[in-house]
Amino acid sequence: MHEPTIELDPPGSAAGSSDDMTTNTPVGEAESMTRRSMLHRVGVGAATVVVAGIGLGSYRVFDNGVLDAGDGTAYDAWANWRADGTPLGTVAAAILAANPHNTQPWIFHVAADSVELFADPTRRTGTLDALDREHHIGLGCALENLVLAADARGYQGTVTLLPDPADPTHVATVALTAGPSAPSALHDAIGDRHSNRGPYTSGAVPIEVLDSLDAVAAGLDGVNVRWFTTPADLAAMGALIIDATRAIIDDELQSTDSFAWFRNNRDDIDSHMDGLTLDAQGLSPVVLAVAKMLPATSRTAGDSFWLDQTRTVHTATAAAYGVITVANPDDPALRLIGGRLLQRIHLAATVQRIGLQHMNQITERIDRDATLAQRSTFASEMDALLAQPGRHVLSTFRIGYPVRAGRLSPRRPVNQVTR
Amino acid sequence: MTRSSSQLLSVSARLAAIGGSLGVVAGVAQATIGNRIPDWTGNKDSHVALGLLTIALGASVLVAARALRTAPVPRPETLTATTLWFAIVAVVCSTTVGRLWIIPGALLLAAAGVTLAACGWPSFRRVVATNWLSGLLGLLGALEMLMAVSAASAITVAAGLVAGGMLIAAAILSRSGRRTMVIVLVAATVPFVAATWWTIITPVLTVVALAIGLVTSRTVRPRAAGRGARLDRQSVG
Repeated sequence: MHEPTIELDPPGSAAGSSDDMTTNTPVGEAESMTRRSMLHRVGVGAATVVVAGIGLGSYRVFDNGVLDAGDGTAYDAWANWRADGTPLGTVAAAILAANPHNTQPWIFHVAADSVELFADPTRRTGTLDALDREHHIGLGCALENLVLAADARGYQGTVTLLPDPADPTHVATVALTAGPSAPSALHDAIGDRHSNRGPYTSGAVPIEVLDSLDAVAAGLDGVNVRWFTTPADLAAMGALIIDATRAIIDDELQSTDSFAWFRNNRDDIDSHMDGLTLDAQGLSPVVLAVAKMLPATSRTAGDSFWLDQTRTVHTATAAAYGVITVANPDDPALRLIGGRLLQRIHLAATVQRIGLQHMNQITERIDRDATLAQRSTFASEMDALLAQPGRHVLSTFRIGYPVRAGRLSPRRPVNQVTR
Repeated sequence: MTRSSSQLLSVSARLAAIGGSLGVVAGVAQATIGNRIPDWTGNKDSHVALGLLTIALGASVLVAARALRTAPVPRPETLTATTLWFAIVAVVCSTTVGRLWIIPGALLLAAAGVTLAACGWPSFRRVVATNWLSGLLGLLGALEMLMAVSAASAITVAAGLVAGGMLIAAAILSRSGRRTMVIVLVAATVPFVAATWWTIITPVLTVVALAIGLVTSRTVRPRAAGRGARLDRQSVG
């Protein structure tokens, strides 16, 4: 049987309004069609809005590197650090070292028989590292990687710290002489070492593992590591770190100097190839993706997030704290040696799949208070926690078994840090 | 088609041919020496890939220009699609080759404007309105491809490109019925979603694409654009 037909413009067409509709059907059916047409238009409009929203989100995925975290020129250094067997190759390993706020405060002069390490004074973090403590520690970390890489490449590396008293930026000379190739587990871990700012599991780090991390200090004079593992110690250290974090946030200059090294989008990462990134914050994949799709956060919003993470993740899930101690934290040589120890511990932890995060809020406040000539409660409280007369904190970190792997941080390539 | 429309199409085809050719040259320059002339090419991190993309899009414009010149009587749908494509390429490539795109981009925008004039605003508007949902589906496919090309993993890139391409194909073939549409959409998007579910945006995109795909496969389509269609009542809704 032939069904009745209607004449209408296609749904969604510009001419499809009820005014234009002609029909040979009863009035009720025409009204139904009008409602249907209206519903159709509403549906099409809603779909358009939703697709527009998806368009914005998709563009953010594309533009902010949601699907290519850790990929691209800014991260090439992590893939290529073993390729060069010459002295220049030792620099490729050195630039992967831990360093404050990923400032990469180094310059290298490379010769056939030596590598000179210089501090780059333009890469300081201002009031956040008021006495250049972290600046020197980071250089010590790079020095350790450089020496390990020299050994692995068949060079005997002989280190002279601060070789030129007239030039405080000349922090080390590593003389290279031919020797047997001595690759090591620590060397092999250089490309896998990342600061892990994510949550750690509730599993304790066994004492024998801590002893093995202690053992890497052999040959480094004047520096030690003190472990905090008991619940009371963990609580006390955690509370002090949270207080220090809050003090930094409340200090606008420190907060501003810290925020200056945060790279909030992929363009900044590709352009600067340094700084802290969302990728390296230890967030879950979903939270990280959403954070990268949203607009960049303000300094104050970032500070609130940092304090919240410090309280609910960093201190809440730390299995242990390690504190590098020295007799005089203002001594640049001890800072460099302490940096070497810190790097060794981080590499040794990486070998054992232990996560490590540098937590320098306490020392950042101690040094800030010193430059402001104000009495530091953090210095006295830290000394009390250490309970080691004559020794003081150089740097602090937490360790534990990580829930998720740490992610890569951007690095400037070798040709940008050699002169 | 009137004589003036034919003349307009001839002008449009020439503008597009020159713009597309210059675009291909700009793409070649970006792919080969883009990193050596960053002030001209936009200082792009992936200059080779962006150069190749520009070459491909420029070539597609050349194909469209040739079709405009040789087609005896272009349909309103063809003219509308050509107008939009010229404009899209003009905008997209402004982000791929920096200043090298200034002249090709301007020529393509002019070509889009002339093609639109030849098509006529009422026809253009009617074709766009008639195919709006299919257009949204195609746009979702393009967005999927946009996300895919930024992925680090080659497998994810491939899955995303296939997914996006299939969504675009589904938009074009939306007359083929609901079951086919569902199969195509699911098969197209599931692998990419599985690889990128944590972005939230790809699962949402898939759900929306599925919904739009189902609607477009059910929607009665006109027999000819620009006229009211005579439809069987049972097939409506």
